Amino acid sequence: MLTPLHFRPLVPLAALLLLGCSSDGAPPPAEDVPIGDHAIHADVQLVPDEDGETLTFLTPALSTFSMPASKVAGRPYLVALFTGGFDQGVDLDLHHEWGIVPDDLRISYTSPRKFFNGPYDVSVIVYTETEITDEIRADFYGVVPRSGELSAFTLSQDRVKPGDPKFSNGVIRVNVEDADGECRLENRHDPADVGASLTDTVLTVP
Amino acid sequence: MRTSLALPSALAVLCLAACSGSDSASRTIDEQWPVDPASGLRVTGLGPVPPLPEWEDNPDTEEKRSLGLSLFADPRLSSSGTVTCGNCHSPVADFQSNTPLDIPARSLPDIKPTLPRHSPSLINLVYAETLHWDGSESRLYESMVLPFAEANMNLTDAPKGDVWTIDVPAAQQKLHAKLTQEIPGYVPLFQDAFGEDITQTTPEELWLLAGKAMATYIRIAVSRDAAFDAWNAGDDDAMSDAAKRGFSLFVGDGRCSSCHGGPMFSDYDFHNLSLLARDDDGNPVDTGRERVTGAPEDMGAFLTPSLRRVNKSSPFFHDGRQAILGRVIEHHAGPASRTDPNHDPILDGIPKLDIDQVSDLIQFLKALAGAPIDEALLALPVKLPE
Repeated sequence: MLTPLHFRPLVPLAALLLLGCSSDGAPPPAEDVPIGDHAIHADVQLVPDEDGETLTFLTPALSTFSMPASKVAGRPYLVALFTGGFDQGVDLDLHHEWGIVPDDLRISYTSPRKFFNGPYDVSVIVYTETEITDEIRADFYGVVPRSGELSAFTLSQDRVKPGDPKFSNGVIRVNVEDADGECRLENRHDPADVGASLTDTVLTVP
Repeated sequence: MRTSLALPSALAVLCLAACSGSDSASRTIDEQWPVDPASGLRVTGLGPVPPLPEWEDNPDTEEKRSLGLSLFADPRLSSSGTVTCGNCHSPVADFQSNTPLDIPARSLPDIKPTLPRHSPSLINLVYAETLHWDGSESRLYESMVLPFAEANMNLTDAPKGDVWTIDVPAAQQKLHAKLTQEIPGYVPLFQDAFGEDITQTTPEELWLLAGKAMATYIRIAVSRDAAFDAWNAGDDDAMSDAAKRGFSLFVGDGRCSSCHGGPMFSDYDFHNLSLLARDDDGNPVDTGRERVTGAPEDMGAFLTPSLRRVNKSSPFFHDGRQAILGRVIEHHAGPASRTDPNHDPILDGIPKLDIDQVSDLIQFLKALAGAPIDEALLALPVKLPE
C-alpha cells in the first residue's frame, strides 16, 4: 500500500520536452497541445464504529485493525494524482495536496481544473505515525508510509477501460470522460463481504 | 510545495539537448553497439527472455495450471483462512504487493510482526537460478509450496508471531489433510492433473505435486519483448535517447551489468550493499546469505533481483526499505553502499552519478518492462473446489 512517491520530475520533464519539440526541433502547432478543463475529486469519509470513537480498517491480509478516531483526526494526509498506470516510486504526480484530517474525518480533495479525458490514479495516505515536517512536504521524494498508517485501496481492476494501463496497489482509478472525475472512499471492513470491503476503501499499511 | 531550485537549470539543459534535433550522443550509442551478425543482438549477454523452459518431470498442462491457480488463490489453505499466495504476490500487480513487508497468517489478527523480508515479484521466476533473498532454495517446485510451512500461510504449530520458524514435515501433514479430507474437491483435480489419487500418496509426495502445479501456474508470470529487447535486436527507434544513455551507463561506468547481467538482468548471486540492519542492541536483524552458508563473509549479502519490470515493483531491497527507484540507484553509486566493511568491492568502482545520469538510468530500467501479462490469464478461479 505504498503511496506513489517520487524521484525527480521525470514525467513533467519528459512531457515538456515532448510538447516543446517536434521531431525536427520545431515547436508543434498549438492545437496539438492537449488542454483539459476537468477536475478530479476525491472524497474520503472515515466512519467510526457504533461507539463513535473507534475506527476499524481491513488489512491487506483481510484481518481488521482498530484505532481511536482521535488518533486520526488532526493527522496529516496527502492526496496525489497521477497519470493512469504510473510507476510507483518512479513517476512524479500531476498534482498533490497536503492537509489535516478534520474532526468529522472527511477528506475532500479537488484538483485544478486542467485535466483532459483519460485514466488517472489517485493516492490517499493518512500519516497516523509519521511526523510530517516542512522538509518532507517540500521534498520531491515524499515519504513512505509506515506500518499502521492508512492508504486508499481498491482491488478490482474493473474500472480499467480496454487499452488503458492497469493501476498498481494503493491507488484508485478515476476515468475522466467529458466530465469531472471522482472517487468516494470509506473505511469498509465487513469480513462477510470481502469484495465490497476491498473496493474504494481505506486499508491499514502493514 | 514540491519545487526545486535545480529544476530550471536541469530543464534548460535537457531542452537544449532535446531541441537540437536528433540526439547525436544517442546515434553514437547505436553505432557503438552494432548488431552482431552471429547472435542478431547488440549485446549478446543481455539477450531476450528465452522461451519457457520444458520440464521433463512436469510437462505443462491446462489441468495443472488450473489446479495451481486454485492452490495459489485458496484462503482455506492458510491457518487464518484469509491469506492466500496472492496476498503478497498479487496477480494483478505483477505478482507482488507494493508493500515493504507483508502480514503473515501467523500474525493474524494482529498486523505485527510482519514478514521479515520483502515479497519479491514472481515475474520470470521460472527462469531463476536461485530463489529467496538468501538463496536458501534453488528448486522451483519446493519453493512454490514452501510458504505453507512458513509464517506466510502457517500450516505448522509454530508460535503466533514467530516469523522465522519453518517446519516442513508438519506443514506437509496439514496440507495433506486439507487437500484430501477438509476440501475433498481437490482430490479429482490432482487426479486430472497428475493421474494420482492423493488419498493414497504420502504427505511428502503430495507436497511436491502441489509445488509442481503451482510452478505450472506461475509460468503465466513472464515478461518479455521489452523496448530494450527490440533495440538490442537492432531497432534504433525502440528506446528513447535517455534510455540509450542510461544503457550506456548501465554497461559502462555505472557497472550495473556486473551484477545485473544476463537475460534476466541478474547474476543470481549475492552481494553486500551495506544494507545490514541492526536492532537496538546492535545485533543484525537479518544476516542474509550468511543464514544459509554460515560464512562470515556472506553476512549482509542478498540475492541480486531481476530488473525486468523493476519499475512496477516498488519498494526495493530485501526489506522493502526504499520506495524510490532513483534513490536505489543513488545508494549503489554513493557512500551509503560502502559503509559496511564487508561491502562488495564492485561498488567501489561506481562513480557518483548526477541527476541526469540517474534519470537516464531510470529511463533505461523502464525500457526493460515487457508487455503486461494477458488479462485472461490473470482471472481468478470462478469457483474453488469444495
